[in-house]
Amino acid sequence: MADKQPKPGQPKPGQPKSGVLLDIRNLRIEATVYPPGEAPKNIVLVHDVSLTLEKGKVLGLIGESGAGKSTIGLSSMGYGRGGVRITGGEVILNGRDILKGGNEGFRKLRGREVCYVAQSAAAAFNPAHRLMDQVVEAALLHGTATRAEAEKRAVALFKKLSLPNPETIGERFPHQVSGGQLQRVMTAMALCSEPDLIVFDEPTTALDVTTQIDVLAAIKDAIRDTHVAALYITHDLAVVAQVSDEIMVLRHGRLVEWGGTRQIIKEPRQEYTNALVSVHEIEHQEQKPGPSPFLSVKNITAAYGRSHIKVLKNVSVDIFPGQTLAVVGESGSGKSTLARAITGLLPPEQGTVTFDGRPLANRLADRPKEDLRQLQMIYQMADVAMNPRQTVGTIIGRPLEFYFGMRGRERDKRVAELLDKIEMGKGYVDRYPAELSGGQKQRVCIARSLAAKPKLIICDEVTSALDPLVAHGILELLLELQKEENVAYLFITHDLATVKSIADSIAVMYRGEVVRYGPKSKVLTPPFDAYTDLLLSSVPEMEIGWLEKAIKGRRMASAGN
Amino acid sequence: MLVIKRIPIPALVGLVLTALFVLAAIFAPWIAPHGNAEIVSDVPWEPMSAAHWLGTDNLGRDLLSRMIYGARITLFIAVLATALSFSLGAILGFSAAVFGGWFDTLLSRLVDLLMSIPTLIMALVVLSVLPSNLVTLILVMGVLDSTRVYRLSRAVAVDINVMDYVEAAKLRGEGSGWIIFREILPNALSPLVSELGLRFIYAVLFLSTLSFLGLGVQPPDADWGGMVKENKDGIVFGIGAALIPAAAIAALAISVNLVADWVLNRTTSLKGGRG
Amino acid sequence: MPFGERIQAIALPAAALTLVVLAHMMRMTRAAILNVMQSAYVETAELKGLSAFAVIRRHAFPNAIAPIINVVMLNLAYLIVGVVVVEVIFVYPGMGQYLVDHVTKRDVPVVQAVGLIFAAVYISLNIIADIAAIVANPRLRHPK
Repeated sequence: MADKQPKPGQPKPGQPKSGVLLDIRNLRIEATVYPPGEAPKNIVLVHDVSLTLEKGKVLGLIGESGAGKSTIGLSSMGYGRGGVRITGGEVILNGRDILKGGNEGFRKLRGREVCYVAQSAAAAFNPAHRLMDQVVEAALLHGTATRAEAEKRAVALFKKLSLPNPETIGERFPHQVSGGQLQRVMTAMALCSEPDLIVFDEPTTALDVTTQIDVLAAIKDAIRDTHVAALYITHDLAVVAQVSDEIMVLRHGRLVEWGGTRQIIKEPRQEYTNALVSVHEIEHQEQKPGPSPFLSVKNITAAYGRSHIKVLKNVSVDIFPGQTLAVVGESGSGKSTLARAITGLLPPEQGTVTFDGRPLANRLADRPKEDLRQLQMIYQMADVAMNPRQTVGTIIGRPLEFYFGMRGRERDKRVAELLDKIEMGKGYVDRYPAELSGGQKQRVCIARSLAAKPKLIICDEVTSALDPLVAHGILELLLELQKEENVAYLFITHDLATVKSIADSIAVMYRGEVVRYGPKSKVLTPPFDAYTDLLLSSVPEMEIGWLEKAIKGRRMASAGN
Repeated sequence: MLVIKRIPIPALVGLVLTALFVLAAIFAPWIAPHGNAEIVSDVPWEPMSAAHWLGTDNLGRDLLSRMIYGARITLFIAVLATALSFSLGAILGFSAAVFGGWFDTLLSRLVDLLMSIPTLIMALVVLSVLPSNLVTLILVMGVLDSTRVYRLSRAVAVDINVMDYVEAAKLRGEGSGWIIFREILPNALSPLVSELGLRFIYAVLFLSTLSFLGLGVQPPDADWGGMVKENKDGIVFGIGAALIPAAAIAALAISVNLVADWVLNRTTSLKGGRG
Repeated sequence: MPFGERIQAIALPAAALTLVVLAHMMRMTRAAILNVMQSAYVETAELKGLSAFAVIRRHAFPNAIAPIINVVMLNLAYLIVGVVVVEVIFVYPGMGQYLVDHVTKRDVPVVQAVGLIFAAVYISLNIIADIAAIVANPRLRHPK
């Protein structure tokens, strides 16, 4: 598949050769893995990938987890994480093959010619040193500037990246600065030693959507103004479309497609790219709210421990049989706390939850088994939501035993049925969770909650840890099961695309309050309140030039920048 | 199920040695060529010979026989003390983690109090008051050691208790029994098993220390630590009788640890040992 | 006893105590540093082109201090227990020997007093270690 691909990114015949900054030829990267109880074996992470990058251009590397995109990005600095080794090919930077330079050569190149911006700036800054010391460290080490010059440059970069208090922010320690700001400080750190190339490794993935747009805009401006070239690694095609000139799609360590940004998102040539581009669309007709809700949350206020900070303030929502209520909001908006209040894990201070016309006990311990059965929950991280020491059969079978007293063959039959429902075969019954893929784990969790035959399933960010295509499959499965079993969902998410595709009604939460609530069509139609507007306008769209438009049209500054 | 070929060599060595020690302890009266307190020679510290394989001790008793009986006493006390410290520490630790609240606070502060005094000093103080017999010895060792086990099992259980799968079980309405024994215990087992090996060795060493100081097993019975004490004066004359029980303690410590390491390796695999 | 002789008398017991603690201390320190070396900020430092030694000195060590102090603390207990045994072995007339002698004699007031002194030393060393660990942590020194 990779061989037949045209390579539009290579310099056209007319262009001067000096324009090429980075030229990776037939790169092959391997790693040794040590499975317990087996002989160590070699696996190939990157198969024969070639790319070129011209000075001042941005190339987006995109793919799902395990596609080898970070590995390729780091190879441009001669770096391999863990036991990762570059075993073949050439990496030519500024006209010389850096792989021949040895460790000494790598050290001279890192932090001077190529800099790196990590996914989680919060973890990538040393907690023991002030930000300024870390920002100027590389420039001082390589002798490209004196301390005074480097600090001056850093402050100028802080300004350019629109950080608050650019003069003094360098005096702070990492834990005193928010995540979005740290990500920008990290970009400043990369730019400070005036490199030729920056590797951005998912720089906005860990951020909230309204923060992401600010950081993205700041990064884009900085790249444009400093004429630095960049490899931009991400799994989000809509994000990469905003910043890069070309896009390279990778899968399982192989090149799938490589082309100009417009071509990739408008007319993808490969089936896989097409799937990535069109992944957000799911057919779901909004259902009208029924005559009466079976679960209604009335004026709930809640706080953790004895603290006076209310995580939920006067929240009221209704859930109708067989329908989906989506609760959206950013981290800290209280959406997961709402789920905990409904399930009884965090008894609310005020307000009631009514279920089938009668009030539900506040505390989990006071609820009868029957009530517990009716409310089931699916978690974000499927791998910690299942006991790693239990087989799939036990995990799915336990609710059957516990609620319905099923034993032996009857139970096994029902487990097989449930496995069939989640599109997994009987062969998985005696597998352990560690032997399943991420998507399969989430499916088993769905089966576990379905086993209780509940009226409501609370889905807490169930797709956000999954790759887009896998997440898509999970959402389709959930919708199908909703039709078959007539189960309602309380769908908690920060991802508006998901909300648009599966919700019947939506509640938008901001700092513990519901700021907008109603049927999907109503909530998503203007006029919006300021926060909903900010939220909706911050979701990246797969469209060139969206970023500039969105920044211009904003009415409210994001909170967590 | 267990194929000998698949056991790594260090673990095999550990298993064989541990088995030897255990067999010697169990069948002591039948294996030992002489009685425990039987004086077989007029001269102290006879060298090794065909009649007395390891020579004789400071009172002219057969050292091999005393070593075999010593294994019995050492292992018996250490096993009982470890069993006591483990059942006490693990059950209290898990309960503290699951129930939380005042129960947890009370127990944890109590354990902090016990741990704020070095174990040996504490044991010396207690033993100076209580009568010195086997029961006291086992109780003192078990209770003092259980503070360490309590800390570990509470820490492990607290980590597991906040996992989503435990929350899922609580949401399902499961009782504390299911949560402790079916959700937490299987996942806490591997650190606990390796700790078990370590604790057993500490019990052996602690007992040896106490006996060496003359406060453990009382003569004429002797555990290995006590035998080091009995024979240590010989070292001045170039007689190595004290080194034999010392070497036995070291060999036991190493072999039990080898086995514990292997068990830990086998049980950490989350794929049911399938690969 | 003149100073030279005293040093000579202490040399062997001190060496025995040090050897016992040294191995444990080295292993634990190694584990603490290795743990810190896994963190993302060490990778950041490597990607700035710092040499391996500079990475450890500037980035790993300041963050490994707290766990290392913890290790030292753990070993204090060993040392205090060790003093008792070592004094008996080397027939060194110190507090440890004194304690053991009086335990055998069941002379409770002496045992209580010596036990109390040992415990007090141990606890105060622990407190010092705790304070040092707090001082080594920038999060606690520079609140938000």
